[in-house]
Amino acid sequence: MNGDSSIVLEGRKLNRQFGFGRNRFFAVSDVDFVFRSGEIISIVGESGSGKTTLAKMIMGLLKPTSGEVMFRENPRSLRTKADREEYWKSVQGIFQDPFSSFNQFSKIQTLLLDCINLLKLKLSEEEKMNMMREACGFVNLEFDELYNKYPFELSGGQMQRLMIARIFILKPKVLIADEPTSMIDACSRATILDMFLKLRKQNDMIIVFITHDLGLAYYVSDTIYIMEHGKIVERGNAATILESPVHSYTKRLLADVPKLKEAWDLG
Amino acid sequence: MNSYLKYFLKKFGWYLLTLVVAITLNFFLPRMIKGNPVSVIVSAMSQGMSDVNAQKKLYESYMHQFGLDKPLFQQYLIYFQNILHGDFGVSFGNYPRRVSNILASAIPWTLGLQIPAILIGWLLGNLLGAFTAYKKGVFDKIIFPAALFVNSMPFFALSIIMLYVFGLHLKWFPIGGGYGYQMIPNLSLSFIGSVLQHHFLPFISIVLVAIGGQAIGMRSMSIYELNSDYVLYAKLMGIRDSRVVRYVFRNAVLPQVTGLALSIGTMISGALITEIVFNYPGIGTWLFTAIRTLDFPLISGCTLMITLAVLAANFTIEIIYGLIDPRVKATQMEGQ
Amino acid sequence: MIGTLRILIRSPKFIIGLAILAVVLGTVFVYPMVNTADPVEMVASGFDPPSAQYILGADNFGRDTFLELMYGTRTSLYVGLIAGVFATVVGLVLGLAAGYIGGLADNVITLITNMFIVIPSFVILILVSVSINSRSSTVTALIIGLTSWPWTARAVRAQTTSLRNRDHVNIAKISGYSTTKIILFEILPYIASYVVMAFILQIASGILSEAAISMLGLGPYNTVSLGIMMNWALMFEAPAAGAWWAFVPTSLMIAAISFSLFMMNTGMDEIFNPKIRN
Repeated sequence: MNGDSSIVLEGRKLNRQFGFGRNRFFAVSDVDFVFRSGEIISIVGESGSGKTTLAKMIMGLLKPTSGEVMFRENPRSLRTKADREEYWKSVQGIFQDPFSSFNQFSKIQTLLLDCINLLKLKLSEEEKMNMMREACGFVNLEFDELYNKYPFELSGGQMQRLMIARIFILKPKVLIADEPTSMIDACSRATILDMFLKLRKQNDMIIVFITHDLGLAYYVSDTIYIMEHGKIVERGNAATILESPVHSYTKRLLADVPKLKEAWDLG
Repeated sequence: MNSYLKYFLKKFGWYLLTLVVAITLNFFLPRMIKGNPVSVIVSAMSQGMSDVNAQKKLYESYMHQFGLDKPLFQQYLIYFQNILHGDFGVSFGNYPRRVSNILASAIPWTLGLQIPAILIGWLLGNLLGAFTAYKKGVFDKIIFPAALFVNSMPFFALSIIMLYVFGLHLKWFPIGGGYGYQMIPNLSLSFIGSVLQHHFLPFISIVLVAIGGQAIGMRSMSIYELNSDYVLYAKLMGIRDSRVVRYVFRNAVLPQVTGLALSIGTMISGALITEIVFNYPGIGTWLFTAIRTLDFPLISGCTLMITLAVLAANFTIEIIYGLIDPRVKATQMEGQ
Repeated sequence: MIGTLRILIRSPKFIIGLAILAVVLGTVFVYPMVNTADPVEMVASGFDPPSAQYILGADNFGRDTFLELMYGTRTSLYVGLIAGVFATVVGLVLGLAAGYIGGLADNVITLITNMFIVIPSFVILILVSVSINSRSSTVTALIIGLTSWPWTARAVRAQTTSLRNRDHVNIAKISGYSTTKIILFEILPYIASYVVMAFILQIASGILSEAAISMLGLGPYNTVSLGIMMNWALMFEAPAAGAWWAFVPTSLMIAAISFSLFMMNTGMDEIFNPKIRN
């Protein structure tokens, strides 16, 4: 869908190699992608397929060995601090494990204050507090109860919702969500997915889900990329891929989602 | 076996490189600070020499042998070449005795003292440590601090106390030297007996400190293993205690082999100072004499021997470790 | 910070170590204020046995051994502390650099670190000391620190390498943290307890190294330290003279200080790694 909307991020022949000599291997090889504004994309693959490496390259946390990431149709630059800050205002991420996403030694509000500072808004203390209060409200958390607490006093679901509150403050153009619900209990999972979709509606944000779950990918996304051994083996419209998969790997992944039909019939 | 050979060669190459670095440091470190120590020391030494001829000879032989008139890097090459030929020069303090000759006479004493002492100390320490961890309770509460206290004492401090108590006060053992001073080295029973008598006190001081250090390490390794899931599982399965203890010991002792490699440098150095206390005719005592008389070639020869011994010991341990730890063969081979 | 201290106080091992150290520190700093005599003044004849006036008798020079022991301990503690600080700072900086930057920097630093772990520090200590003519206690301490950083560097590197890829570091990066800020706030707090423990061990090993190097006659000049007292006792044949007071108290003092530091370290280790608690 949205064939005519503008391209926000584009990957051209992205490669990432680890090790040298005989130990060298390609975690990601020759990956191309195009993310258009407002789109929801899923990159699906098993563990070891290179999807997390790809996600890190998109987020600018890992340098590609070769290839280029185009940001708003220009080559992405992360050379200067200003470049990086500009990029991360637009491209943000959420990780799999909420427990390790928090610095245990910092108070909870630090996480949100860092985002407000990244936006370089000239705000009074009071306005900052209000902004954080609003962000927590969006994810159904009571900011005043969390204020000055440490991460270990929170549950995994609460932590992950705070990560979404972060995104609410930053309002990026692209959100890379690396298995954001895999460590959350089933009840909060749906709530968290809903929050993602709500955020996207408000900001016209691209969401890129990195997942091993083809069922989830189909349920939420417009476009699906299937990844195996560092390569994109199949890509296209979510419904098309599900109904008529071409690549054998996709078929195998599909077989692992036995009750898919019923699941999305309910949805 | 092929993969083990690769592991062996890789380690060998690495230790060879380290040895070259150590020899380089042995040459440059003293020279970096004072320029040329040989010329400084030759002039200092020669003041004490009454024989003008010997003084001149000494100076000339050094000028020639170390190429003191040549640039520093060329001197380094000459030094390296000399070492490869086993030539460490002439001792200032024992002129005209060659350093290589002194080292050759000292090395058997040092090896004979240290190798058995360190191995026995390591073995007894590990048994004691494992036992303490297993027994727990009052036993642990007494043995652990005792072992830690012994380990906190430098080798030479324990030596000097042992020398005083058992050598001078109780007169059970001779107080110094490698054998009775009136004896001439030979293979008679009385000479060997005298050697063993002189060997005992320095030996036991080294063993005691080594036991302390190893017992502490083994105790914490064993506790770690005893608290691990496989032990709990084995117990739930009803496997006999003695058998579980064997598993625990085997798993805990592997890191202790590495532990020995890491502490062997400190152990050897400490044991060398023990020699000084007992005036034992090994490298340590010669090093002490050399430092007091600023006998630079002898100091350099001793430090090089110590380095060589420590590297060789480390290399041997790593090679043995590669043989006994199944994981080394599996993982170290694959590389990171 | 206060929370950590409150936990540590519950470890008997830590408390015993701290208590011994406190007693030693209290004695060596308070006694010289009471007895203001010069420790190197020869007040008795050589190897005078302990008496009411000089509770540990006199050394070979006829100096008050107890007073000398106080000053010697102070020097040794000072050398250990400076050596420990130096080794910890160098080890921390190199370990962080290798672990955080990775790649070539990591390979080079790791190679050097591993080499200096196997090349005996004792040898480097001798080679450097023998060529410096006037060694103050500070210079001795720095030389010792220079030889003992690799242990800390190796451990810090290992921990930093595993922390570098944690998600909270990634979150900090995409929140615009600079490298300095990441190291200070995202890495250091996680390794702080470890670094403190390593620092304590470095102090102990610094004191032991000072004793060893002084025994060889390469210790600091113009001062009294525990190692120098041991060296004198040996050189002037105190054991043969039956003067146990010239070396037994010194030996026990060295052992007591390192014992207290080892105890504190073990207590902390048990707190931070519950798996090694018996």
